[in-house]
Amino acid sequence: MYTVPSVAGVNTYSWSFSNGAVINGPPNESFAILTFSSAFPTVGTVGVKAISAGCTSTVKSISVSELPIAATAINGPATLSPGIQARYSVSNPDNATVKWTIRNSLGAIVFSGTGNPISFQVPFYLGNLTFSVCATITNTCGATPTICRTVQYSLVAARTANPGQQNPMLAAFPNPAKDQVRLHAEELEPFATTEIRLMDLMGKIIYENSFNPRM
Amino acid sequence: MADIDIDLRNNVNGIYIGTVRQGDRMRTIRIIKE
Repeated sequence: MYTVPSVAGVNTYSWSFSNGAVINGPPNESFAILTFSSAFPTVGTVGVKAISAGCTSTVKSISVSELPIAATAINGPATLSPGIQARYSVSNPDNATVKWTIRNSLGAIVFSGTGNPISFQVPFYLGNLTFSVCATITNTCGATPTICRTVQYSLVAARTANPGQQNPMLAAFPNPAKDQVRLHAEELEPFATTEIRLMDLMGKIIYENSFNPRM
Repeated sequence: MADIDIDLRNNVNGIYIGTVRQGDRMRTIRIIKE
């Protein structure tokens, strides 16, 4: 129910509202009982003007919101490997706020933040883990139910484009190292973009370089 | 073939991970600094 203070001498109040809302009850009072159907936009308006003796006031209106449309699926890679930038998104036709929480199967939060899409760098873990990628869409009216997706973690990136192709060779020496280490890569595809990285166990990049090897 | 020398003097002792990636081809190696 929406109300405005009664004004002396005014006997008609004209209510207006976005499509999808209908007024229930007397139509010309200082209050209006509205029912909102699914046709009502996520953000609409309810307004009222006073009419007296042939004169009409300006419209007083407020913005009305409803819960955004809930996401039904999380889009992004099904398998994560260390060091990559993983990108996830949900359908969000209302352009509401999307809150993300990504935990590993040990319970640690890997990423927490808002946006759509979001991306984060996958840390390095020894052993087999899974990640739980969860999204909640919110606006000023509240939050939709949280949806989650479980994705796998693999030390070795999936080879889908050329499954018969060998991975590059990589050696390090000396290993253990002291002041300096040399990374030696072989079996590189000529002219293909090549990324070499060194990360600590938290996924922080110590060194990064990109180049295109010649024949 | 590629050789990359990386200075570790400003890094703490412990385990590091080296990776080489060409698209979806990737190799990792564990490196210990001591």
